[in-house]
Amino acid sequence: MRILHTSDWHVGKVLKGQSRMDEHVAVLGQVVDIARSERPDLVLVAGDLFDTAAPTPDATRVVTRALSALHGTGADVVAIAGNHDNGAALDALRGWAEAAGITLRGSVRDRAADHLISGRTTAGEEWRLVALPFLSQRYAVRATEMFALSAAEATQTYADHVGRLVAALTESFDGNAINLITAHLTVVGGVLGGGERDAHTIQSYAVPATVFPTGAHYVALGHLHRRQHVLGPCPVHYSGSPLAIDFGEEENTPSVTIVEATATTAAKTRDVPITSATPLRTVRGTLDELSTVDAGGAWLRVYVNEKPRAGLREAVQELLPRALEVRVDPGMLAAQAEAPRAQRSGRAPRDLFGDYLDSKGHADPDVVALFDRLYGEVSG
Amino acid sequence: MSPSPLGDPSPVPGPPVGRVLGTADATPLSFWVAVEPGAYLQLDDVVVTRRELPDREPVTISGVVTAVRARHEGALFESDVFAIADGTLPAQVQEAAEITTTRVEPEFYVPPTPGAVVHRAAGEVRSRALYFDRMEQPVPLGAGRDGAPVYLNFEFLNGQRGAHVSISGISGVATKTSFATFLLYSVFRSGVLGAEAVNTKALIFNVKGEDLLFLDHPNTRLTESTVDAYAALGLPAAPFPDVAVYAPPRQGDPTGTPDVSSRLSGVDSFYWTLEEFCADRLLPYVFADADDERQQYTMVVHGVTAHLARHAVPADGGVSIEGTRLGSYADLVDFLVAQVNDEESRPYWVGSAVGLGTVNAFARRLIASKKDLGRLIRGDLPAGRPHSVNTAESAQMTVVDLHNLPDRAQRFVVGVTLKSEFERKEKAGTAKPLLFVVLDELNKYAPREGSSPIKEILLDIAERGRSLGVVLIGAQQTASEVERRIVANSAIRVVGRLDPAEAGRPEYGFLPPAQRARALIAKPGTMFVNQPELPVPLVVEFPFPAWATRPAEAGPAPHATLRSLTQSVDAFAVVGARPAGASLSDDDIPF
Repeated sequence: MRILHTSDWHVGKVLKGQSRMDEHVAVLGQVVDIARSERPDLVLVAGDLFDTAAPTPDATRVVTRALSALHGTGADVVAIAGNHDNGAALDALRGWAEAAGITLRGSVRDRAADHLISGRTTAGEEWRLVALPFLSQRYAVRATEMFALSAAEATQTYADHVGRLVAALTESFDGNAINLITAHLTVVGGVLGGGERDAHTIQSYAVPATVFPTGAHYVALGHLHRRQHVLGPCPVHYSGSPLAIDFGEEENTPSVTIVEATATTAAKTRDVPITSATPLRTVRGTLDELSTVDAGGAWLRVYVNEKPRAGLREAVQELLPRALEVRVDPGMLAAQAEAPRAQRSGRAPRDLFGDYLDSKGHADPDVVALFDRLYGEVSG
Repeated sequence: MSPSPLGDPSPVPGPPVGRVLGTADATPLSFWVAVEPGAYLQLDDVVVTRRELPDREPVTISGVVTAVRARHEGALFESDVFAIADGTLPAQVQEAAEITTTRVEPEFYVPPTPGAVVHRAAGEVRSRALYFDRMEQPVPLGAGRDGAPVYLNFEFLNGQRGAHVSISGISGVATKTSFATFLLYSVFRSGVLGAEAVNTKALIFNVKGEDLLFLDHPNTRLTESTVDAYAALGLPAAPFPDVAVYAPPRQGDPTGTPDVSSRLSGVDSFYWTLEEFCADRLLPYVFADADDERQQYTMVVHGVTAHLARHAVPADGGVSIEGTRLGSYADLVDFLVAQVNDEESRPYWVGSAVGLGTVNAFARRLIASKKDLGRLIRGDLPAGRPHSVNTAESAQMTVVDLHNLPDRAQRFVVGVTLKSEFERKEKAGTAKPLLFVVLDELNKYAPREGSSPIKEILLDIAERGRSLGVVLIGAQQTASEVERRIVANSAIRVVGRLDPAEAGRPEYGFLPPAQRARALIAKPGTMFVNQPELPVPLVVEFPFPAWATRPAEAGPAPHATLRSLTQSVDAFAVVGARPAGASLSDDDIPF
């Protein structure tokens, strides 16, 4: 059977005031095109479909039409809720979604059978899917115990809870059908950003990959936005998000994952890149260097190598209209940290204000002149 | 017959099995027995015979079968066997067994008379033959070939007359670790320790896989026959009741979660805070490579260690040295390297007689240790939580998991842990209660060539541990590569399946040739145990462990190890706990 695995759409995301709805429409349109050409038997959306717990009507419209279009290619569609989604809201829509041919699982329920979905492809292959939506830590780690448990124990308790849920749900895995798992969590060994940071060093509640059984053909995960394969007892993959959601994910190549699996052979994966997203870029430099930068249609995060002063941001945005985030380069600010504390008593306000501006690294004689004028007016 | 001062001299021996042969020399230490028709003798059977003497009470000679052979008497050529089977050629099948004497009672070493009746020893006669009746504290080891229990004299384990166990055998088949854990189980549960079993502790270093982390979980593959085997030995078939598991923190994890993936509850992480690192002088253990003692930079190491111990002040989780606060091991290393490289501060740290090359060698090695030891020596984890391996305050069995650590870090952990345990024992002043230390891969930690702080500690334990009450149970694949003094000081030597090249080494001289040949084909679970009292090693089959030996066999975790109340509840019930009336469930809606 062929599976299309995608996750972390974050529809409705507003990046520094810039709505990305158009990009989402283009990207999801490309995903649907890929589904039309690849003709998968099953589409897995592993969480974080929406960016907020109360999505806008536009976001809802885009997501529902995308899911319906994916179902329209002839595939079974299963979507689980991530940590950004409102799981209970998705569960409330289950009846409608089932009627439309889309299987939704919004929250972990106490009925185990709810999370075991089975099906049959048109070619007659049986498949079994364990669908585990995002499980909040507050079930495994009770509020009353938060003070008694150390952080390490809390992480272990959460991992133990997830492990026992997965063990209970995968008991029926045997060699006769294709065994699949989809979940929304951080696995130890996953990486963040451009691949340089281990996820468990930043995010708490990481789960070791050994919670997944050795008999699973493919584990489709969501939550980390980078396409990656985590080493474990069975193939554990993050499909990554189909567009860069925020700055810091610029080095990820957005894609969806196509998986070919049969009951008796190992799963083989390949990536289909998504090209219709607007890329995100980070640029650095002084104002002169920035004037030579060509945005190339990307959204920019700009680190300016100048001392902070009034009007700096406007100058940068004039040069680079596609700059969404403008910051002073941290290297400039670090140099200011060593200023000694000066003596304050017995000095004129003008001197004190000048010292304050110096300590903040603000080099703007106009502000000092304005202060003098205002102080002169106020003190008569 | 005058009554013997040793008590009843003639308990009833078992059924007769043959007579002492005269065609081969019968000596006091070994003789041959012709097996009578209708009877049989197998290897490791215990037999007893009696020699009458004119002016003294009879001498009872007991022994163990070490070789058995059968042949056709009257056949010359190999084709004769078909004729004999048809009945056309008369010939006799005769079995003969070689007996190695284990006990002569009273100790009058005369050979048995050819023609004397030989009986199979059973019951009390067997116990006498194998010295079990003289053992005041017998520890059951397993079943012998005949199914009856085989015991070990505890006096040769607890330091009274000997101590230390050395287990050899090839990896995987020789079941060295399983036997070591079974021996500990037997010692703790058979009652030989009496009341002090409460305070007797065991420390196990786990260097391969995660199989030793489940000692307190019941084994799901336990069968009725295994439970009966335990009952025959007088032991309950249950997992270890009190186990604490320690594992190193995950690399890079700021919360210090233990780095184990198969056991998710009841594992603590162990680490040393920077304050302990400085105050307890642990720096020499960072340099625990095999040839370190001969290098010149060891003087730099000791100088820096002493300076750290004097000047490091605890500061908010890390340490503060001369005003600089250091929050992690990497910071400490960078600070030390900067100090010893700086011309002005160097004399205060290492003295004036040290050359630049030596200081650079020290700095290089210290920087190389940053990556390996960064996760073990922390300035950011709480010091109040249990984080140090201290058997005095921990459970009865402490398992220290090392398999995920690089080599240098493993040597650091083993060195520091053993050193602190040994010091605690010295300060406690008495040998009892005992501390058992189980260490696998001894050929890596105490190799014959080279020296290191760990080897010194292990040698110290092997030579002085008896009087301090520290018993080393060491396992290795090749006893010929372990420091000779450690192997030589072991009173109990156990051998599982051996490699043929290894079997010929002199370290296995205690095995008679027949048993040495058998050790090459021993099956898992069969061990040859040599104790000082018996002249011949005994073949022991120990029962399948009642505790889990791998994650797949593990039953539910014991309640005491669960930290959170949610871990003891069914995973789905935890999620389903919704306050009444909070939200509608699908069942509440009738349409």
